[in-house]
Amino acid sequence: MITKADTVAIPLKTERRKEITPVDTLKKFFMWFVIIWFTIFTLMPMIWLVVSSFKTNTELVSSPFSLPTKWQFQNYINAFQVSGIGKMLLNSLIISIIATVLNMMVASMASFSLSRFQFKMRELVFGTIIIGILIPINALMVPYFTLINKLGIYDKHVGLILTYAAIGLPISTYIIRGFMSGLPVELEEAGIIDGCNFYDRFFKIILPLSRTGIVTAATFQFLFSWNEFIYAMLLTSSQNVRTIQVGIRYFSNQFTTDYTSMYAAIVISIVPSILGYILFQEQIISGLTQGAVKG
Amino acid sequence: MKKKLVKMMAITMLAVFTLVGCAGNNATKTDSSATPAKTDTAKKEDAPKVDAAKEYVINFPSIWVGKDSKANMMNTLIEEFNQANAGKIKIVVEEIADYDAYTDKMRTNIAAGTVPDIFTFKHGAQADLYFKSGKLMDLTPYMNEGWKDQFLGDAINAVTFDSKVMAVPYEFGVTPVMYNKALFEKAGVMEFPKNYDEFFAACDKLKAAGITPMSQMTGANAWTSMLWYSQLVHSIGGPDVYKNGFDDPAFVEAARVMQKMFKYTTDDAVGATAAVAGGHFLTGETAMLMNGPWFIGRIKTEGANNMYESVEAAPAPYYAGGKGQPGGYIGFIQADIGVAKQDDPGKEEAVIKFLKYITEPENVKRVSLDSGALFVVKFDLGNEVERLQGQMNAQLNAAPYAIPHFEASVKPGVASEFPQALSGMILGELTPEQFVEQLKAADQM
Repeated sequence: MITKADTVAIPLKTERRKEITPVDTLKKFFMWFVIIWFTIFTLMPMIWLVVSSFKTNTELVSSPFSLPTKWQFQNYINAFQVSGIGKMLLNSLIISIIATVLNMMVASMASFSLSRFQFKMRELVFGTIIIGILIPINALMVPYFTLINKLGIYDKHVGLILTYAAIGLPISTYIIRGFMSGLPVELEEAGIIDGCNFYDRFFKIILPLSRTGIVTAATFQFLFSWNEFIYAMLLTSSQNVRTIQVGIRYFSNQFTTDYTSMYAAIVISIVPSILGYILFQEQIISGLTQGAVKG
Repeated sequence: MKKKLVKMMAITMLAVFTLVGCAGNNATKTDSSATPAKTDTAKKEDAPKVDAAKEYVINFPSIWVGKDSKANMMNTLIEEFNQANAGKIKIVVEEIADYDAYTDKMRTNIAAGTVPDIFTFKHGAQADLYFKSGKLMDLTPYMNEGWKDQFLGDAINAVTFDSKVMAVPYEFGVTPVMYNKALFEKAGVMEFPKNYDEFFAACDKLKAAGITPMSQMTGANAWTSMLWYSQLVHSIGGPDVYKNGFDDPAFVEAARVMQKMFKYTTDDAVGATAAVAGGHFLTGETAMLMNGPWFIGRIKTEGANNMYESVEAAPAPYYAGGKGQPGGYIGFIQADIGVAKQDDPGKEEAVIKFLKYITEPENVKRVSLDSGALFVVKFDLGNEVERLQGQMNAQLNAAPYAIPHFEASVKPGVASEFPQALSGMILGELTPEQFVEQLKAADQM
C-alpha cells in the first residue's frame, strides 16, 4: 500500500538527483580536463617515441611530430643486429631479477632485526646503512671497480648482481623497515606462545605481513637495476654480460648518433617493464600508496 | 606462499654462489683476457722473457665500434691481425660506443691502477692528465727506431711529455665549412665568400631566397658553434691568440660576430644538439654546416635529394683587418692511442707490433678511404680519395697555419662553460663582454 508520504518522497529524491548546479558542471569539467591533460601528458612522449622509432634520422629532425612517410622496420633490425640487444635484454632480466631477489633477502632480514629488536646502537646501525641513499653512485665508481676486480668477478653477471643489490640496500632497508615497524608486537608474542622460534617469526609472521613493503622496495630495486648504465658499462667488457642500457647507447658515437635506431632499442627495453607492471599492477599500486603513508 | 618464498630465496642464494664460483674459476684460467691489463696477479708474473709459446691477449677498449665511421675497417684490420698472429697475439676489443661513458671508464681505470693495454683519448687537457699519471708506456725507444718518421710534422712533439713519447698520435681532425652549392646558386651566390663582409651579404641573399643560411647550436658542447667561434677567434686574433688569454679583444669581437650569425640560423638553434644542427643541413633546410670529414658519410647516406653532389668544403671566411690569414684552418689531433706500462716484455712486444700495424700507411689509408677520417700518419691517398676529403686535404695543405679548435685550446672548465655562456648571449642575457667574462671566470677556477 502506498502512503502519501511515499508518493511525496519519491519525486523529491528524483528532483534532488537532477539538481546539477553550474558549479558542479565546472567541477566536472575541471576534473575531466585534468584527467585528459595528464593522460596526454603521460602518453604523448611514449607515442612520440614509438612513432619516431619508425622514422629515418633525417625525418626525425625535419618533422619531429609527423608520421613517418615510410615505416622503417630497419631500425628494429638494427637494434637487434648492430647492438645485439636480444642477448642484452636477457642479461638485463637475469641481472635485475637476481639482484632484486638478493637485495630483498638481505634488506628484509636487516629490517627484521632493525625494526623488531631493541639493541644498543640500533639507530646508529640503521643510520649507517641508510646514509648510502645520500651518496651519489658516481662517487663510488673507483672503489666498486677496484673491489670487483680484486674479487675476480669483472665482466661477470655476478659482479653486476652484487653491485646492484648492494647499491639498492639502503633504500630497500629504509622502506621495508618502515613497514615492519608498523606491525603489532602482539603478533610475534602470539607466535612465540605457539612455539615459533626466531626463524619462524621472520618467515611465517613478519615476512608475509610485510609483503606490500617488500613489493614496493622490489619495484624500486628492479627499476634501478634495469635502468642503470654507469656500472653496467664500468664493470663489464664483453657483449655477453652487458645489459640493455649499454645496448641503447650503442647507437651514440663520438660524432654521430643514430637516434631512430636508439629509439627502437628504447622501445624494446621498456616492453618488459610494461609487461611486469601489467602483471603486478595491483601489488605495485597498493605497495606504492601504502608506502606513501608508512614510508 | 611462505614455502615458495623460502624456496625462491634458497634458489637465488644458490644461483649467486654458483655464479661467484664460476667467476672465480674463470679468473684463474685466463691469462689476462678482457679484464683490465694490470692487476696484481699480472705484476707478480716473474717471467721477464718473451715466451714464444704463449698467446698474448691484448685488451683494447674501443670507441671505433657500432655506427662509428671507422668501425667497419678497424674491425677488418683487427680480424686480419688476429688471423695473421693466431696463437701468438689476440686483440680483444671491448666495444664502448658512448664516448662519455668511454672517458669515464678510462678515467676510473687509471684511478684504480688497472690501465687497459691499449686505449684512445682526446688530445688536449685530457691527454695531459694521462701523461702525468705515470701509468703509460714510454714509447720513445720504439719511436726512435724510425717509427716516428711515419707521423706528420709536430705530431710526435704533441704527445711528448717530460721528454718521453707517451702516446701514439693517430686521428687528425679538420673542420671546414661544408656548404650546399645548389642552395647558394639558387640564392644567386656563385662563389663561397672569402671574408665576413661577403659572408653576411651571402647570408642576406640566402635568407631572401627563403633558405636558412647556416646551422648553429648551443646544446651539449655546442660543437658546430664552438667551431665557428674558433675560426673567428684565430681569424681576428691570429694563430697565437690563445697565448694572450681571454684579455685579447679577439674573444669579444668574435662573440659579437657570433651574435650576428645566430640571426641567420634556425629558430631551434639555442639548445639544439649536433644531431639537430647536422639534421637541418642534411634536409637542405640550412645551406652551411661547420664540421669534420667524419660527416661526409652521413651526407652521402642521409642527405636529402642526393645532396652529396652539391656539397663542397671551403675554409671559413677571414676577418678583414684581423691578425689571421685567409685560408687559416682548424686542424687538431683528434685521438691519441695510449698504452699501459707492461711488466711482461713479450706482451709489450705484442702491443707494439699491433700499434705499428694499425699505423702502417697502407692500413691507415684503408681506414681513411673507408671512413673519410684523416690521420696524422703520412700516407698517399692517390687518386682513390673521396671528393670532399680531397678538397679538405688540399685546403689543409694550402693553409698558412692549422690550429686546434677552442675546446682543445682552453681548460676543460672553460669548454664546459662555453655552451651555457653562448646560450645566455644569444638569448640576450649576456653582452659579448659578459660572455667573455663568464669564460674568463671559468678559466680562473
